[in-house]
Amino acid sequence: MNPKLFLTALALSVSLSVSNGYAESPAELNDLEIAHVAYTADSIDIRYAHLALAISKNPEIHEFARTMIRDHSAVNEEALALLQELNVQPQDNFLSQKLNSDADELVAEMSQLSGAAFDKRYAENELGYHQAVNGLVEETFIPNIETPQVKELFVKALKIFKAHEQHAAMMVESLK
Amino acid sequence: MISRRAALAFVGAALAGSRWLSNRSAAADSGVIHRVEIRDFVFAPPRLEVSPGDRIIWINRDIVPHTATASDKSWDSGTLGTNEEWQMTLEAGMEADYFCRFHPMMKARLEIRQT
Repeated sequence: MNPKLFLTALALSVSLSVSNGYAESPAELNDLEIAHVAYTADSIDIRYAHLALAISKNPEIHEFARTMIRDHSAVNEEALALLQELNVQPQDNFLSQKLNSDADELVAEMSQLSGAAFDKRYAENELGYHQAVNGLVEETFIPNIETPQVKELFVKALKIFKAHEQHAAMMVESLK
Repeated sequence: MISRRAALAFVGAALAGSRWLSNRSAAADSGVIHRVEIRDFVFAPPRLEVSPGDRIIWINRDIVPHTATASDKSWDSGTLGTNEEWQMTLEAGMEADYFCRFHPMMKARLEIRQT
């Protein structure tokens, strides 16, 4: 697979060289920063999905994109409701910022594509993105989250994102 | 000789019994009710033994929407939000395989007994 596809995955790798005086690696993030990363990651995938609906003509891509919008919106609503219940605010951090800047680049790049080239790029990125985020959530975030309700939501969300990963793998395969 | 009170009690019991029989008969006419829970992206049970006339109720326990849709699209629950349910009475010849339109890897089957 084209290594470019894993741009986002690399951004999520365990150690990043970004230094801002706060957390420097995903393992150092607190619960509120982790919540912010998750909300950001969800929102980015919704953004990719809207791009796919605007550019792609493939019904399978459209169905997948609509599912991403529906599911990630549902997870974000659940997360916001929980944060409200806990009376806390998510905290912006280096990883959320890195994810957003990578997404800006990727959206700019994908916007130049059309037809089968776009579909392939979108599908492969969805697979790579979900693989990367799921690895981070499972191996780094869930073990480090201290608030039981937040941990519970992440466990629930991981099941959803793993289903998306499987769905994306099916889509990549069908586009070959 | 049976007292008046005993006779009334007997008649009351007989009436109650006939009501019970009548309810039981109505339940038998409407078939068996089955429940399928959608939880963690799985239809549970994934294989359900049913007969024509049985009623199947799907309920979504996930935080994301799902559907229960025949593989040939001949029947479809529509979007089921969290804790929403949909029911269908099975008729002979209906499509037995189904899936979630939003998450096509979620598949299940109705094992339809022949009557």
